[in-house]
Amino acid sequence: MAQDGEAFQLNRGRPMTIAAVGAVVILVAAAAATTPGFISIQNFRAILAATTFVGLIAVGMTVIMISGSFVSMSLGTMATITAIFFIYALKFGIAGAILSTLLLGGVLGLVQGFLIGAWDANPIIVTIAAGALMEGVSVALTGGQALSPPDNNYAFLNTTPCGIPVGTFVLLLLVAVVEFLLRRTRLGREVYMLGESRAAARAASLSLGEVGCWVFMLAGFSAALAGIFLASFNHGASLLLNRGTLNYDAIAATLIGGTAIVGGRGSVWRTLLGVILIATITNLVLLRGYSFGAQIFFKGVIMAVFVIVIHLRSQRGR
Amino acid sequence: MSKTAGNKSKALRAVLLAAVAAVLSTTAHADGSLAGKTVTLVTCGTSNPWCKVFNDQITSKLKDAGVKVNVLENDFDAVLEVQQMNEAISQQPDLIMVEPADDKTLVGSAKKAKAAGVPVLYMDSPADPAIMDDIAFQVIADNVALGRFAGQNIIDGLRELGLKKANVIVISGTKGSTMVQDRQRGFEEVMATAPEYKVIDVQDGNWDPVLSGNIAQQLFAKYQSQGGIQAVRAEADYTAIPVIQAARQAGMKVGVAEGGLIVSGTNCTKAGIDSIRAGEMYGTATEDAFTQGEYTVDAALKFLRGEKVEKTIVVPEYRVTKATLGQYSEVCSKG
Repeated sequence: MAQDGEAFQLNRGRPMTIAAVGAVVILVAAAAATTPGFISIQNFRAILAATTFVGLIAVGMTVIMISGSFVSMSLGTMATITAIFFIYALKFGIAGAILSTLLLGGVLGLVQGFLIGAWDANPIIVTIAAGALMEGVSVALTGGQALSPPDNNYAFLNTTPCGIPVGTFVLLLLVAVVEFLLRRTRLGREVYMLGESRAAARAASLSLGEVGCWVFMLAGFSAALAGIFLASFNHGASLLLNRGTLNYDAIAATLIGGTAIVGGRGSVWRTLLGVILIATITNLVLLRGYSFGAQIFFKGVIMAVFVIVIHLRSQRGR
Repeated sequence: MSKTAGNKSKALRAVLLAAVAAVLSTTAHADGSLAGKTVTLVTCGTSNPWCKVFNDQITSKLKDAGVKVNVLENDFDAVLEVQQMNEAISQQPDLIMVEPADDKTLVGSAKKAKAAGVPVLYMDSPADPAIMDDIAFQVIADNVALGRFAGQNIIDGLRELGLKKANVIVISGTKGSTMVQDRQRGFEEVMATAPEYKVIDVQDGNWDPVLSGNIAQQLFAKYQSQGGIQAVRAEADYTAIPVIQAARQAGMKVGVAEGGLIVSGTNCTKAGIDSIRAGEMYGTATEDAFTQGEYTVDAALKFLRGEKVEKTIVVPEYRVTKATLGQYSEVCSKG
């Protein structure tokens, strides 16, 4: 099974991985110790809060990558589209808005998963096309306008129990649930098998279309969760929410977390560590007064280091 | 993902978006005094609410006058915009109207257009001084004034709180652009008149609401032990709203009524108007898409009719606070 192979490769490549992780941890710790303002409760809360949106999207990205569908280029857009829908649906009450937004995310993911899983369509092309279509339809339906909430019935989504945003707790819960699904259920094992070898999965009579649908539906669901919290945080929504680098950050976090780009290996809790590492480095760079460009540069360097180490590790494992 | 792959996917995405937009849009036909004239509009995309209002205002008035309009949209993608400028020049229209994604990268395109005999109108953001002789004319926002108004909002808000000293931060749009630099210049000019209020940090939020909220959250933590932050200038109202939410999540009070953080936007949107009305944002400044589009298209029509047009037309801007909300809420709420 895929997990046995993964364990074998992990053992073979463990010294290099430990060395890479150790080097990064020492560098980050040294930078943290010499950065005024880093070691404080409020700063740690700020770092955690910064993980929420990217983390929710990265959970879906991880499952997609494990299944061998590389990456989705549309999860950031799906988060934005569902954010817009959430604000629109608030007029039907908060419970209805949350449920219908999650449903929409699931359906949007399902359609892409069907095309990729059942028809073997290229996931990059399908998700880019899906993102563009969703944006186009959204502009047509909203007239390109930003939507404002009808009232404040979503305020609890912005609360901070123990000083930590509700969204961060939801992220932790989602990580736990998805990790359980991947490790302890038949569907999870099928996702790993599909990622390890599509031919072997087909030979084992797996329904590739069905597994693909589940994977992308789960990713759509996680993007919709991100959308709900994005809309609540911004007290409104428009396609401007998709202006930034949410999708790329989610890909970066997934790769830094050690998920194999070709599929078959990875875990969502390691992706969560990747998200936290990116947020911590971004925080350090900001606190030390470096520019926005430097933030992107450091993120790129860390991602490159991890991808190279993971690639070398898998080469040695063969 | 590599940068090249990212750019390729962006380009493919732009092509697909354009295709979707073409399918979803309707073509307007109108007869008017300028029938036979063509304009190529190279502009930011309708996924941005400000751009949507701006573009609609321009295209509808041009079409009403009988002008044939070709629209090339980009999502403030400077590389794509240069390609679109090349395409626009090859179409040989009577006028290219361009909203610069990055004024520096368009220097070559402006020179190329002049060499090809195609006049260029720069919109909203000022042209690089190196190409002032190459463009036909420009219709720009008074960005220095917008920055000054934001500075005055901050000073007035802090004085209303009775603060004798305060720390102020700025979360700007993309720092490299002339528009953002002009706004910051105006802001600093006014802040210099109140030296008791110090601008302690200026961070690039890249016009991104999510990033702006994240930066604010981290700066609130960074300066907590250094006297805290009492005021924030955000580049746009839609980036000011997540700053306010970040402050709330950091346990800070917001607005004069609560005796908390003073926040000013630097160009207005409906969300900002609602926030000022609710007493959270102290104020903002205009640069609304409707008025900006109105001045731009009127100048373009004048040019197409062969009338004399000034080289630089500066659209007047106004300060928006609770006191002046009635005057500006309607135009600001269109974007």
